[in-house]
Amino acid sequence: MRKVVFGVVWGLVALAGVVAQADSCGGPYRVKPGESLSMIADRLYGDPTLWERLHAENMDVIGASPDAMRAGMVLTVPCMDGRPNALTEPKVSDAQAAAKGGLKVLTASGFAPFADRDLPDGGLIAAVVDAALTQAAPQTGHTIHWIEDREAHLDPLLSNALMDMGFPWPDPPCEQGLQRPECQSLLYSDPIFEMLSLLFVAADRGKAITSLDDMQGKRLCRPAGFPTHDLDRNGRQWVVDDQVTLLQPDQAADCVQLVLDGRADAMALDEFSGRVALRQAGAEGKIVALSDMPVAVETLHVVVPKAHPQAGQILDTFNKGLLKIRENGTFHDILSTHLTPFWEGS
Amino acid sequence: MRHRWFVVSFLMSCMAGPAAAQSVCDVTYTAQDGETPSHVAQRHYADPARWTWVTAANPDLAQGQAEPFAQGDQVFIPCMAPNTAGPAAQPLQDTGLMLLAPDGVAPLVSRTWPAQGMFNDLLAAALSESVAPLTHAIAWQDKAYGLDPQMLAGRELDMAVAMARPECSSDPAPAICARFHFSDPVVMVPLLLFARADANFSFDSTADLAGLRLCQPAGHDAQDADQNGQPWPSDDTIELETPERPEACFEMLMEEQVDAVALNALTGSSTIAAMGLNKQVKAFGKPLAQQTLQIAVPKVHWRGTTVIYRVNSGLAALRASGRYDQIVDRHMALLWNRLN
Repeated sequence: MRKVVFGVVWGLVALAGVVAQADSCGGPYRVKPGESLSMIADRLYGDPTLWERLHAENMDVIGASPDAMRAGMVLTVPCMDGRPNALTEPKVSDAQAAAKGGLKVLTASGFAPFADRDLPDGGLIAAVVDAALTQAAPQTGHTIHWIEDREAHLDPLLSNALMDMGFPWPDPPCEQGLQRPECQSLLYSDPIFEMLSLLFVAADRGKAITSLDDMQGKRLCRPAGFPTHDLDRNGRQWVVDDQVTLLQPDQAADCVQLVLDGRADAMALDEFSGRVALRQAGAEGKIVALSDMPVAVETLHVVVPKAHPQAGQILDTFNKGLLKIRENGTFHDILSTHLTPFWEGS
Repeated sequence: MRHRWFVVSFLMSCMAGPAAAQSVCDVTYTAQDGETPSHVAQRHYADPARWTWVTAANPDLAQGQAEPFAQGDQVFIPCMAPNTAGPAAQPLQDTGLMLLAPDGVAPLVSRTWPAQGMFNDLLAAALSESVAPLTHAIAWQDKAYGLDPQMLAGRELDMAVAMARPECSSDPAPAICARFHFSDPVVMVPLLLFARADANFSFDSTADLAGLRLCQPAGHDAQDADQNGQPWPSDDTIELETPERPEACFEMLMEEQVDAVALNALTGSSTIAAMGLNKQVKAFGKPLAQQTLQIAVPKVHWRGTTVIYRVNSGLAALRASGRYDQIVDRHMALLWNRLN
């Protein structure tokens, strides 16, 4: 079972007949860091699909785009079926939470071809996660939450186990004993996908770079919310030792523009996301990938918060589902569906 | 890339005398007094460091590198490293790559050649040299094949031996380029023309092929199905036979059903030796083309680009360190032993 929270029109149908009840029901609500409308709807009404109603009621505060909601905004929360009353944190047990929306799976757009609301099935990894969970835990169910504030994913959403799982996450070098928050807070599933982390540079400078050591002291662009641990691998410590200047704008498209303008020396991104960004910006040919000298070999995973009381069980469920869909051919079909258009566009 | 194919022409010119046509491995060898596992590994693998293969396959005989066998010990000579990996109950990231490979392209790709052929020996070394090392195992196809996009659609196979490298940078690119990534060449071998020793035609250019009946084993030209992979012009006067195995081409040659066989120099000389045809068959010195063997990985594979990167970077490292030439030399020495 799968529910995609955003864009579900029939959510409104559920509101028919709802009337205001007691005076203590509804009222002002201050948005917490990392919360989305669907999360608030889930928390206050136990139904994430009511986010559209919340948005409609608060259009003047949030604006037309639900993604524009930010922590600290004060929403007016309507009373529906007597909820929420007294606007305090509802105390819902994990079992109850799981029974209502199933597993809460966290992702964000901007990871094309892996995760993006505008892609079919939400992208390659979204389709794999959906198929694996459907395979392994059809009764539990799951809901994919698109929360575009990527910087809130690790902390607080995952580190505090406000979500049950997240994707797509590259594997950090935890075996090196680094005290990275990605290692301390998260458990990683079996790998779903493997790719190269590359540098993308202006075409006229590509030939001049003969070694990754040439990038010391240079300005590298990596979109905000993308982990940077790949830049500290294979004997390099670019970020932890400040050997490069890291630029972190909101979107990969911003990185493309910075490289085109000469304000960044390279965009550092996985080969797939990077090529999608170049294509969307019409910058193919003007910016080239240094394919012969990858920064790292990266794998993509589902993560589960270590703080989650059922962390091991959830991870086990996902891994079993992943193995099963690899064996029954579903995994291959998903890869074909999502990667064929990617390579045809290249 | 350094070529050592002068060795090949030397081999061809020396193909005289009765050939020792026995198998190189998967055979039982009778040890001579005082021979150690290292000696036996040198004799059968051209590599004394592979003494562990010998001892692992013969647990009841000598176990130390320098411990002598007894006179007359029956020593089994395996074609591949003993399987030290545990059962398959390992997490996915620890399992290696599964390679689809044609059998019968000795000494390059063959289950009856040490290390399963020069190609597999080089590939295993390349994968172990790369930044994120992997191992590989082989799913053998009974005969050479044309690269088919469907053949790797199953879940177990990760990559295939491709016996030709299409020109993917040409415009328009061959259709196969849309489906596969190709690695750099793992081995490059001259494609030679073999004829009966008493043949009365010469071969200086492909124009000399007009009117001839040629034989090339199926799959050995392995371009994709809709591309002409032969290194000779489309010519109605050339008749082409494509049996499944190299041996069949030489049988047809000896029965005068064809005039010449087109085959890579190493497989050609090895097949001729195995069939005891050294005196009846000659090779023309001018190559028809350079044949390359490489890895093909489906573009929709979950780790397609990283497999290609591992192979390419591993090959570059092998060449830089000189290990590439060492491995090639080892197999050339084995082939030399076989021809004499």
